[in-house]
Amino acid sequence: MRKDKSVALGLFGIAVLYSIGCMELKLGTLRKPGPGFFPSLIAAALVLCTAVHTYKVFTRKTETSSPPEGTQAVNLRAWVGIAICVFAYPALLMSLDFVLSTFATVFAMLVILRFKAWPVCLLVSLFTAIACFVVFAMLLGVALPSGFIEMFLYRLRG
Amino acid sequence: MEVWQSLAHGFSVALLPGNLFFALVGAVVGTITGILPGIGPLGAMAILLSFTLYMDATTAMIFFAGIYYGAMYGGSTTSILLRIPGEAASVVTCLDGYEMAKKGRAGAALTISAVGSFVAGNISILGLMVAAPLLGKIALKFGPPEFVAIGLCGLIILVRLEEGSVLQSTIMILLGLGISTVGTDYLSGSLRFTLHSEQLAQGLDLLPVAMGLFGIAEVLDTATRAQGENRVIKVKLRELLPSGREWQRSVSPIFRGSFLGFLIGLIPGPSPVISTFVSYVTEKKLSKHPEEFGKGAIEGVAGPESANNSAVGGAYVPLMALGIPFTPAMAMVLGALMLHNITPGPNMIQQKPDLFWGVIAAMYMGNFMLVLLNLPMVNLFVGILRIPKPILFPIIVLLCLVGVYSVNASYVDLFAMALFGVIGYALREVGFKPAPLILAMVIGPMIENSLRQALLISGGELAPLVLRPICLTLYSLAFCGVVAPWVLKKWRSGRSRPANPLTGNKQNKVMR
Repeated sequence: MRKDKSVALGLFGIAVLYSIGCMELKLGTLRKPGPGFFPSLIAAALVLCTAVHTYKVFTRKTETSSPPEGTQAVNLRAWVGIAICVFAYPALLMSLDFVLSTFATVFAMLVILRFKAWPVCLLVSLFTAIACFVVFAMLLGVALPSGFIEMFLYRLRG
Repeated sequence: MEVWQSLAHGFSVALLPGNLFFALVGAVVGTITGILPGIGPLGAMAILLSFTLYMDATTAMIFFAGIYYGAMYGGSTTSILLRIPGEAASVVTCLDGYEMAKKGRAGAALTISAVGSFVAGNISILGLMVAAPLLGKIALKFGPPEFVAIGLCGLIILVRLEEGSVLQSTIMILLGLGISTVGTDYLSGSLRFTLHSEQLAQGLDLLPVAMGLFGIAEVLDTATRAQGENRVIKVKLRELLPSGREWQRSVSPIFRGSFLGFLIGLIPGPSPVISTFVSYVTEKKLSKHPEEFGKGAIEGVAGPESANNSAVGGAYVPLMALGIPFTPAMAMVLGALMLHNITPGPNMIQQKPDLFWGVIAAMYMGNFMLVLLNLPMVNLFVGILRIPKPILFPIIVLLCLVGVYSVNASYVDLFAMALFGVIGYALREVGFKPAPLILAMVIGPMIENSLRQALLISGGELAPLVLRPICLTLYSLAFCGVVAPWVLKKWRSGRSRPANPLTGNKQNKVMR
């Protein structure tokens, strides 16, 4: 129920922020609609719908069923771990280049998800990072951030 | 005659080694994603959208058609052998497919499902061949008001048909429309909701949003759930042949399912899913043995499995003829076309015959490949479910991350994907379905531009936007589509109220 309320409030917040953004745009007239014409229609409908939804959620009777505590702890670890990895990856990519950042991200996820002992995770993530670079950069020609490791791999290919 | 010549030309395109290879890869990838619960054709397309950048447009379409059909085949395999629907369109197959498997008829169920899918796929492609060019010719007469009407009616019907509450679907659609307005306004050149970011001036790409909402959110969702061991029923090759009676009982459901599926595929919404339910109910009503349904009736497998494959062909019609995706998966196909600067629509069939007829021919081949692949290799495909999740998840996440980065080399896209991943997870947790958001995001710019053009042309008059014959017909149909089920429900509940034994009046509340 707490999740329901948080999401409802979040959606209402987004609707309000979107409406505020609309106010900066020229509305125009029916004869000559401006850039804010369509967004304003959406904003009005969105605020109305999210307000009704929030009201419904807050006036609904609460249910008191919750999952067992043990599983919740395990689940939270996996969820938070993966989410952090996904958010951290772009930051790592900017500073560590492709192979190292990919290796670090995959290794972290494998450890968080308790794949195997850490040396196995280390080897799997190293192989994944290099294989990924070979497929994307060398075979498909994607311009990935490259440093000395990537240059070394390019040189190996000749 | 012209159709057959064009189809022959299509085969000459589809039989090129590169296209043939990607049809096969698409079929295999589709089957795998159909088998893996959760990912489904939409997730697979979202994850692999960036790969299509390195193919030409025709190959990309062939690849995606293979994925879509393959997912429908793969989903049925796990439904029959494990009672796990790989994707939503296979839920109904679990009811009788798994019961058949428990009785030792898994092979027969799989064969009927594959043959039904093959027949239905071919019938729907035939429908697509005939309907899309016809609709395309009619659509050449469409102006901005008609496109507004098609877009709006599509979204209205989608709200009605999408599972979950109407309010939730409406919110998702409005959010999608809102996201589509981010970036530069094409008519005035003004910047909207860009937060002074240069990268947001180009708007939010479909790719990071779709990959976040489907790829990352799916991983987050599945990772948090407890994993159980899957017990797979093994199938031997000699057990694959159905008996004469099973064949006989399956013929009519296969053809009925094919026609129903194609027609339902033309309607906006999750048509493959709806078609399976409609087909199942129809077969149960028409069957001489309705009591066997739910206990292993072959009709309960043949009809729905044919219907969901046929709906795929139907769903391609509005996309190819009008350039409007009516299902979220078609929005992905449109996204792949847009990556190649191709906007499908009424002119595409004439201007890009290679693309249209190449895809049609590839669909025939894809169907053929899937029958050949799926039956003998069924045990191998099901074995994929034994891959441990801790290794599968990092690979999916990595594919999403690298896939998004590879399109624009943009860190903003990566952050956007991560953000939409978390948002998608939160929305799923409370019962919101993100598919309408994607569809609205894709249709949004068309609706907005057409609406503004229509208002400019009409001088601000609203009547021409509604009263033109096609518009009026479409709005009336949408109105009926929304109101009719509600009226029907009220009427039925009115009839089912029992009479008060003392007064003879009908009671307002159902008696316990």
